[in-house]
Amino acid sequence: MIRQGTTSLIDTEVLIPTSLEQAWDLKEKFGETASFIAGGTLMQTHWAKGFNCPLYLISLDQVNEVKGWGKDLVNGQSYTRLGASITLDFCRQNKELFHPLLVEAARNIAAPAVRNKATIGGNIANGFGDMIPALLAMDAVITVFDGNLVHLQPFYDFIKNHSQSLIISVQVPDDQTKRFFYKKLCHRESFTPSIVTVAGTFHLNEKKELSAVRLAVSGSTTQPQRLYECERLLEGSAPTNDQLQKLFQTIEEEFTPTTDVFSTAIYKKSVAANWVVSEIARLAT
Amino acid sequence: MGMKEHAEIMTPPKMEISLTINGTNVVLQVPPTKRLVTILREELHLTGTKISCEVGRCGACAVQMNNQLVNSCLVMAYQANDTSIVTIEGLAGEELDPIQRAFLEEGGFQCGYCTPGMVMAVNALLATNPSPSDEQIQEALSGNLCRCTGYGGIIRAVQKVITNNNQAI
Repeated sequence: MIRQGTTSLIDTEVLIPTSLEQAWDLKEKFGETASFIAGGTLMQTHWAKGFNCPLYLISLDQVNEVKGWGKDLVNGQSYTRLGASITLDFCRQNKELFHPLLVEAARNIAAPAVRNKATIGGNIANGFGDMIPALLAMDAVITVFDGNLVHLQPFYDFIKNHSQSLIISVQVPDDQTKRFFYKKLCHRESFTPSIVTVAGTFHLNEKKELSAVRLAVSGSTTQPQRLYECERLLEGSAPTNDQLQKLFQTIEEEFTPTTDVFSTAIYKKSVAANWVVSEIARLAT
Repeated sequence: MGMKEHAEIMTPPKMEISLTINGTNVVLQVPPTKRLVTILREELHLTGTKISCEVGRCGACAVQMNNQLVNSCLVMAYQANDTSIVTIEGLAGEELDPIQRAFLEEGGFQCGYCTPGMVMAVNALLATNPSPSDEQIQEALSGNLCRCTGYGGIIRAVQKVITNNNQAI
């Protein structure tokens, strides 16, 4: 039996709506005592740690709007749409369907048995998932339901505002001409929470000049963050050694990780700076 | 939809779930949040599936749900409804499954506690990828912890199954 906080949980009720509207109405009705749930892999580990389990679980398993994947046009640009209930392993295994940065991010999360249940929507909704920096670096957009309307918004706005809207899907640009990188530091080689995760994308022209630079960082105890100053520093330039040194300093200034029981903020800054600089150097010089 | 208003609940809410376990249809009345590993072990006495970390980290409770590897400690009863489950007890016929035999022959276990989960993970891997690379084997087993063998015998066992399968073709 799962636990509610430190006490044995015996009365959690599972509600299984079949539409977005039903799901939203149930959340409105039960408020803070209810949570949406899809794969539930991370939520269950939280409950095992002693976090309170809600009295009501609103399963999204039967909500068709959050299922499947496809192609969308957004402002004339082609995007791949991933329904919130797409599992991380589906993303990991279907290299021909999804952008390689997404596939690489999924590969770095947990292990196959967890990835077979864990969903992209859940990874985003928990606020610290390792898909988030990849999606930030890709300029993804997200489709949400706010109780009245289904609407698109920039992915970064959704993350920054800690939106409580119901995630329907995330849309990723199909542009595969950008260079990209994704790195995740853990306490062991695989299947542990991230200390620092970094992701980046950029175009590189014939003169080795960078454009459309996107850099994102996060960690299991660090809020996802875009490194706007660093992006501006690199935009339009062909990186030199001096500039890469300046980039290193700027990352250390701009990135604001937390200190937790395992790692200091200073250490995380250093890891992120080393990784981003080495990856930019590898891909652009 | 919901079974009761919370204020009325005096006993654990239960739901009827119907699932296939190792080819046999089973119908149970269980709390919707009861874990599959508990159902398997305590209700159905299929104790080959082991319980250990209870948070999806060790893989000792791995089973296959609709042909996909899952940690049964992270599957709640309502999520198992209308699914097909295969546990370690469902692999062998009159003879051991070739993966089980390879684990025996190559020293793929010592205490054996992780072995059912390991075998289920290898079975899931080879079902979709009959000739995995070393890297793919490692990734497939990255959620299964063994604290006895150092993994050497396990990897040898997997490679032996692959070799035997290829020779049989």
